[in-house]
Amino acid sequence: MGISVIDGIYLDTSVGWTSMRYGLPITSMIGLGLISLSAVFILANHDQGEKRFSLLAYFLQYIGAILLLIRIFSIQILFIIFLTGLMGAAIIGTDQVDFRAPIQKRFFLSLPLFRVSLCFLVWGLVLSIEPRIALWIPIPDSILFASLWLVSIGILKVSLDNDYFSMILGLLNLFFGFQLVYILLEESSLVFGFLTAINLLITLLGAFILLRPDSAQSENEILESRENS
Amino acid sequence: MSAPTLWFLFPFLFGSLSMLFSEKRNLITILSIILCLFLAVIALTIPINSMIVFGNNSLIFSSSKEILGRSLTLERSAQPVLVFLFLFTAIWFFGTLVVQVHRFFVPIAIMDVALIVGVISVKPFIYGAFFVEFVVLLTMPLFWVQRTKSGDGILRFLFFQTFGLVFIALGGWLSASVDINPSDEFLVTRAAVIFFLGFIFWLAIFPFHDWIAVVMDETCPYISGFIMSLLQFSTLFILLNFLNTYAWMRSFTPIFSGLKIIGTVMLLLGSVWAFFQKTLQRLEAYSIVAENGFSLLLLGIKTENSVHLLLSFLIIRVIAAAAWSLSVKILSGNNNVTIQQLPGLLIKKPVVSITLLASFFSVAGLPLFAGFPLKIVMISLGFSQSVLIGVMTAFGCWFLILTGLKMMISFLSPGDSEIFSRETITQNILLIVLILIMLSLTFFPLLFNQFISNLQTQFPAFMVY
Repeated sequence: MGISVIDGIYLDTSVGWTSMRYGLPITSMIGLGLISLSAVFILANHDQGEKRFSLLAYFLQYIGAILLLIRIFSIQILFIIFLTGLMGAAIIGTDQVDFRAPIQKRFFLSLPLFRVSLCFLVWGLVLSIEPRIALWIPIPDSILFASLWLVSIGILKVSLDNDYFSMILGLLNLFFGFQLVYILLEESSLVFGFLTAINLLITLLGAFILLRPDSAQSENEILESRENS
Repeated sequence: MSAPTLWFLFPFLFGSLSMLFSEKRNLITILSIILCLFLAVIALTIPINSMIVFGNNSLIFSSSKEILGRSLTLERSAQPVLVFLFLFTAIWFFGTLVVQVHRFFVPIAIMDVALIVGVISVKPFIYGAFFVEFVVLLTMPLFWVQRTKSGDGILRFLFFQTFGLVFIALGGWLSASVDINPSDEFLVTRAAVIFFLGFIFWLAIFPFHDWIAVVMDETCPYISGFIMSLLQFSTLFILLNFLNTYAWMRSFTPIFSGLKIIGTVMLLLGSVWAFFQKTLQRLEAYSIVAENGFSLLLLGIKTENSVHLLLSFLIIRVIAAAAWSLSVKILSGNNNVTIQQLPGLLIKKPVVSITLLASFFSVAGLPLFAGFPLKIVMISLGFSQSVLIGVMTAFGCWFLILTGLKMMISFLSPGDSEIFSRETITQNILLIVLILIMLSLTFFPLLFNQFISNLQTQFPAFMVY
């Protein structure tokens, strides 16, 4: 799948046994930057009291993806991706964010150094394995890189955190990474619809889980169902 | 009128609409039972791709429906599966009339069954993986509100099913590329490895097997039993379809050697773990792991006979799961029952105890139960591969039977546990019907084999004419 490169930024890198030349349009560079930074932010933030920044970063990932895909898909498809990100952030955030609460600056002061350095490591790892994977997944390098990066951050987020909000965000990251690859591999509206629906359903499920975090509430639900019967 | 509209869209719409009226629990359940029986009868009596004449009017009952450039197709060979699926669902719905289940169970279950029909009918078949994910996502809220513990296992279930989808979808796409150039060994290996990685997550293959035990332990036994049966059924169906579709895969021997090894290991580990479990639901979960091992081993052997055995086991497992889940639900409601609580159960709840034993032994393969002749053939097939596989298969079978015997001893030993109430008459009637269904598989083997042979026509690549 070819992309015309206009006003691109050219970068020669030598990775392992192979030498690659990245010619990226400026939109892709911005997109990659947005996705990379917002994913770092999502992984690094494990302050359970302040979720606004994580949700903003989640939404920015979709903006980054739109910039990456802008030369490939029609405006309608890009708009659907935009809406998926916007609605996803809104659905998860509805009950989780108190907009009247003052912004907590604790996060900025104690930016978890371990997680940020882990991100650097993973970033390097993804950069090094991407050319090998590109041999059998024929999509543009920038998108494949973004996808692998999102999947890796998603797995790390799910593994490292134990609060439901972070785990759901990790799963969404992972699935969005897969979605980016698959919509380029399967050019079918049905598949695109399926992927979008699954993404939104995971978001809805996440919101549902976050609304009922204690099993005490589920006990009430059981009792209620008994009474109804 | 097309077959997918009737068996996929119609029940799905019915399920989603009935959620709005879920407060009328009994009415919705009875309507759903009528719908399932109606769809099963149609699948049994009216061949797909035929003309139905009523009076001066006629209706062409076509096999295919186009949706956004892809098609849902149900051929005549799929009709036995449809009959089975809808009859099986009707039996589960009868169960909800005698035990307390969440009011959303029936609407969601009917949508799930419709989605499984989607798995069977969608072309290319690999899109079935998305339908399986929809089943998981639809059912998750039900699991979540019915959980009795923290719910971490339920989340793990969601993560593993999603990981599975990612790998299976990518593997399916790669397989389609391999089909164009099957001589590219690099691509063949990649496609096979990625595809089977997905099944490792979905079929609870070691080391990703623990989610199945945790989910069954944490949530309502009736709901988890239904969903696990459907998921295992659809996963093995996709796997069989995959092997049936790609000739290059059937000639790629490392896959089948791998399936045999993994299957044997899972069978042995699953049955040993089942023996040492302390709760009924975990015991059942590990017996599912062992049975999945059986299925993989049979797929690895890949003869017409082994696929026949696999399908027979699948049907027996699904029927036995219904009996088991209903019994555990009657026994404990939403809570889990430990083996230590079971002494004296045979006197306190005789029908439930007998159903539990009959269900377990039908799958484990005790003589006189449906699984016995199949397990004998299975062990001899194992020995035909290698002595080691044969011995391990035999040990696996023995451990499962020993687990059942351990349970039986516990039921028979004296005890004065007061935690269980008496069974009701309606519960007893339904349990006895389920026992009779399980026994009928033993006493009418010709009928059962005929049904399985009809089922097998869906996978012509594994048939010798």
